Amino acid sequence: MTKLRLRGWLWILALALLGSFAVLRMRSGHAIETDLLAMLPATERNPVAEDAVQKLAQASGNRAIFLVGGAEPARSKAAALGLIRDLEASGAFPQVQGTLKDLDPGMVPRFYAPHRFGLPASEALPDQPESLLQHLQARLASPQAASFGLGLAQDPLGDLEGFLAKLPLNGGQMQIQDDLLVIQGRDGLYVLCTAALSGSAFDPKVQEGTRLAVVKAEQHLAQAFPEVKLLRTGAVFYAIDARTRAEREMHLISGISMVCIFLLHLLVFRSLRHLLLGLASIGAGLVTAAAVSLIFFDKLYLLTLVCGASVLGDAVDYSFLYFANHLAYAGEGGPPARQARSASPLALPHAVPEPSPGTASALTGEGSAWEPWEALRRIRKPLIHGFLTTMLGYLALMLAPFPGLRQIALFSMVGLLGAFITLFCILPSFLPGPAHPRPRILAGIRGLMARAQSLAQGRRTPLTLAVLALVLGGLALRGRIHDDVQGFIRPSARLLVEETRIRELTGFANQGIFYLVEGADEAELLNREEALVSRLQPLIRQGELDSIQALTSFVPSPGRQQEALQARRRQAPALERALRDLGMRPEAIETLRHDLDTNRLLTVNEWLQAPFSTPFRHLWMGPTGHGVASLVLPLGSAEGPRLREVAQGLPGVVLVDKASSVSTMLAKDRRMASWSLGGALLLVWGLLALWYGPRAGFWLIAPPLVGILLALAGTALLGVPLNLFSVLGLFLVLGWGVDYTVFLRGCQGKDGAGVLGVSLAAFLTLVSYGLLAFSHTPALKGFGVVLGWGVLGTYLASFLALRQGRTGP
Amino acid sequence: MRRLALSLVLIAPLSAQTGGPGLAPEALTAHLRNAPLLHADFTQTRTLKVLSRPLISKGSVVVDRQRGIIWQVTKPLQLTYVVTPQGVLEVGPDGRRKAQAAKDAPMVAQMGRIMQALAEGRWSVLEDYFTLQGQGTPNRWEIRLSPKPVAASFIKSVVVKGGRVLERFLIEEPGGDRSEVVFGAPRLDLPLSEAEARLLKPQ
Repeated sequence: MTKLRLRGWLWILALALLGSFAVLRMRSGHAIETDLLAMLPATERNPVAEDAVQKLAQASGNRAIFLVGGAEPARSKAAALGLIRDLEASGAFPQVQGTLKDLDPGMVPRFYAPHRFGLPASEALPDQPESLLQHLQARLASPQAASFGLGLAQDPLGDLEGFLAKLPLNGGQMQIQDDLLVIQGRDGLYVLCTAALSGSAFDPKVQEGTRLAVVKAEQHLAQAFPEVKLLRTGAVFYAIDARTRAEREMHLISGISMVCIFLLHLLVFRSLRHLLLGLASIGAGLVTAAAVSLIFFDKLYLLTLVCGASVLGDAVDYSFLYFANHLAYAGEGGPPARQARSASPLALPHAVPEPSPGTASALTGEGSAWEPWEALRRIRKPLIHGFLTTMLGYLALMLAPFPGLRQIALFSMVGLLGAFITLFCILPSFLPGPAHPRPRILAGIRGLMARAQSLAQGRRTPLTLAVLALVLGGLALRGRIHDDVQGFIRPSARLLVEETRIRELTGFANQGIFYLVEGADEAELLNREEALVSRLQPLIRQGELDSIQALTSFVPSPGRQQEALQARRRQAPALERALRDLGMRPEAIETLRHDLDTNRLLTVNEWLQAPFSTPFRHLWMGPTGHGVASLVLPLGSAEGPRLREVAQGLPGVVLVDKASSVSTMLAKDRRMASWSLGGALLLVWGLLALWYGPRAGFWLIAPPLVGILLALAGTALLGVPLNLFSVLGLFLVLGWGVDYTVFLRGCQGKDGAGVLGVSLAAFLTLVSYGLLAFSHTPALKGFGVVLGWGVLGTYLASFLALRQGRTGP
Repeated sequence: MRRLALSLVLIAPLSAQTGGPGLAPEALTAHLRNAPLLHADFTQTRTLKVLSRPLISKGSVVVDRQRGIIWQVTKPLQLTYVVTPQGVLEVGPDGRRKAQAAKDAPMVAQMGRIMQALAEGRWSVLEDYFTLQGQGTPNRWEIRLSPKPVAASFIKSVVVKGGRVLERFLIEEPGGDRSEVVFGAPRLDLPLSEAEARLLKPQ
C-alpha cells in the first residue's frame, strides 16, 4: 500500500462525518417513510383539497377493522369476545372497540331535544286542527307507536323520530346484539370490532406491534374456533404488506447483488483486496447517498432504499473499469501481440491519452512498473465522460415532479459521486502492486474484443442495425400504456378479498372520492352542502349511490332550521287544539309551548362536542384561509366523471378524486418525459460529438439506442404496461449505455481492459436491476423489465462503439 | 316498533301440549310454525301520562309468514300498515300511501327482520334485546320479557299472556306510559283476500 494521499485522508474524514450524521438521523427514528402516498406529489390546485385528502386518509387510516364470523351466531360472538380480549391484552392498541357496554341509545334523542323544532320534518302537515288530530290518532293507533325518540309528549307529530331514523348512524346492516355490533351475512353472523392504532399506520413500530398482536389473536382463534373466519382491513395491513414485501425484495435483491459482486471479484481478480476495495466504494457511495439525502429530505422513502439497493450494482462500475485495467496490465508480460495491438490503427489518438513513453516501456517489464495513480490518470477521461453522461440521465429523474423520484435521483447521483470520489482519492493507494495475472481470462476477453472489433467494422453492420432497429421499433409499437396509479402497487390478493368482503357486509365504502364544499361561513357552507345533497338524492334512488355522508344530515343549515321553526310556530295554535282534542293535559301542552319558544338552532360546533359525532368528525374541515370547509362522501358505485357531472355548476363544490388526479398527472408527465428522452438523446449525442466527433459520436450513442428499442420491444412482448417509471428507466439505459460505450472506446487500447470492465459492469447491472423485474410491486417490476432489456441490448450492441471511420491510418 | 313485532307474532296459536312453570319460551312456541297464515281482531289501548284519557283503537290483523303482515285499524280512523321484508307501507284515512323502503330506514329494516324471524317462531331473535322467561301451562301461560341494557331506555317490561292462543300483551315504557293489545276471534283457515294479497305483493 502506498501512502494515502492527503485527499484520501480528507475523503475518509468526510465519510466518517457523513456516516455519523446518517447513523444519528436513522437512530432518532422516523428517518424512513413507508407511506407510498407520501411519494406522490400534490395534485390538487386547492390546498384545502390536499389537506382534506390527508385528513380523510388519517381518519380511516389509523384504525384496524376486523370482522369475526361463522355460521353459528353464538360461536361468532364468543370468538369475537376472544379476539377483543386478545387485542386488548396485547397492548398494541390504545383502544379496542368491540363491546358497546357504555352505549346509551337515549343519548342521540336527548342531544337533539333542545333543537328539535328546527329540524326539518319529513312531510309538511296542514295547519288544520282536524287533520293534525287525525295524524296524532294514527300515530297512536299504529303498531309502531313505541317511540325511539322522545314520545308523544315532547314530539307529538313524530318529526324528531323521523329525523333520527334517517341519520346515517346505524351503518346500514349493523345491529347490536349482546353488546356487540353484528352484521347478518349470507353465510352467518359477523361481529365488528375496530382497534385504534397507537400511532401512524406507516410507523414501523406500530406496524410490528399490530402484526404481532393480530398473529397471536389469529392463532388463538384458529385453535378455539377453527370454523370461524377472521376478516381484516385497514391501511395498516396494506402498509405491513407493502413493507414486508419491499423489505423481502430489498434483502433478496441486494443479497443476490452482493453474492454476484463477491463471486465476480474472486473469480476474475482472485484477490480479496479487489473485493474489499469494491465493497469500500459501494459503502462510501451508500453512506454519502444516505447522509446527503437526509440533509435535503426529512425522510427516506422505502422505494428509495429499494432502488438504492440496486445502485449497489452500479456503484462498482467505476472500480471495475479501474480493476480491469489493473488486471490487464498485470497480465502483460510484454508479448509482441500486445505491442502490436497497442499500436494498432484502431487506437484513437484523441480518445485516449497516449501512454507516456516511460510507462509504455515499463509495461514490458512484467508489470512491475504499474503505477496506480498514473494508471488512473490514463482512464480518467472515459471515466469522467461516463460519469457525466450518467449524471445527465439521473438529472432527468431529478426534474420529475415526484418528490419520491427526486429523492431516488439524488440518492443515486450522490451515491455514484461518493463511489467516484472514493475511486479517485483512495483506491489507487491500495493497489500498489500488479494484480494476479489471469492470462486465460485476458485471452478470452481479447478474443472477444477482436471479434467485436471485426463485427464493428463489418460492412453490413449498419444495414443489419437498421433492420434490427425497424423490427424492434415495430414490436415496441405494440406496447401498452397504463398510467393508472392504482396499478402501481398491488396488495396481496388475500387483503383485497377480505376488504371486498368487509365492504359488502358493512357498507363501508372506498373513500378515495369525495366532494369538498367551501363557504365564507358556516351558514353558506351548509347551504351549499344541502344544494349538493339534493342533487345527489336521485343517484341514491337509482342505486348508483348507497348513501351520502354529509354534515347536513346531522346539522341542517341555519336557513332550513329557521324555516322549520317558523313553520312549527305557525302551526302551533292548530296543533295545540288538536292535542287538547286528543286529551292532552294542559300542563303538557304548556311544556311543549315553552320548548317551542326556547328552541335553539343547532350549530356544527355543538354537534362536534357530542360523543356520537366522533365517527363523523372528519367531515368537518374547519376554518380555511377563506372561510370554512367540509367533506361530503358519496358512498356507492358511482364513479368520478358521473359524480363530477352531478355537481357541475354548484358554487363552492369540487369533486376530489385523488387517484384519478394522480393518474392524469402521471400520464402528462410520461408524455413530457418521453419528449425529454428524445431531447436528452440529442443532447448526449451533441456532447459526444463534441468530445469524439459527430460520426464516432453516433456510434457511441447507437448502442443505448438499441437498448432503448429492445427495452420497449421487450416490455411489449411481456405484456408489461408502460408508464412514467418505464420512461425514466429508459433515461437510465441511456446514461449507462453511454458509460459502456465511452469506457469501451476509451480503453480499447488497454488490451481488453475496457471490454472486461464493461462486461463486468453490465453483468452486475443486469443482475441487480433485472431482478426488479421479478418484484411483486408493479411499478418496480416495470422499471426492472425496462432496465433488464435495456442494459442487455446496450451491452450486446456496445461493440459498435469500436467502429472506426474508414479513414484510419 | 318492537311492539309491533311482538304483537303480531304472538297472536299465532300456541298449541304446545306440554308445559309447566319456568318453561323456556321456545318450548311454548314450538308449534308456531304450523300456522302459515292467520287472521285475527285486535283492540289496542294506549294509556299515556300526558293524556287525560286512553286512546283505544280497533281493527284486524293478517300474518302471512312468508309475505308479511297487515295491521288494519278501523277505529277511530281508517288506517293500514303493511310490513314486508322490503319495507313499510302506510295507507292513510284519505287513501294516501306512504312507503318507506327498508334500505332508507335501517330501523324499519330491522323491524322487518325481527318480525319475519318471529313469524317463524324464532324466539332467539328477541334474546338480543330481552331476557325471556316462560311460565304456566299451555292452557294458561305467560311470557315475561325484561329488556337488556340496549333496549332499557325504550321499554320497561313486556308481558305476553295466552291460553291455547295468545290473548293479550302489555308493554310498559320507562316513563310510565303503557299499551295493551287484546286479540280475539282467531281464524286459521281463512285464505288471503284479493286485496290483502295485493297489499303483500312485493313492490
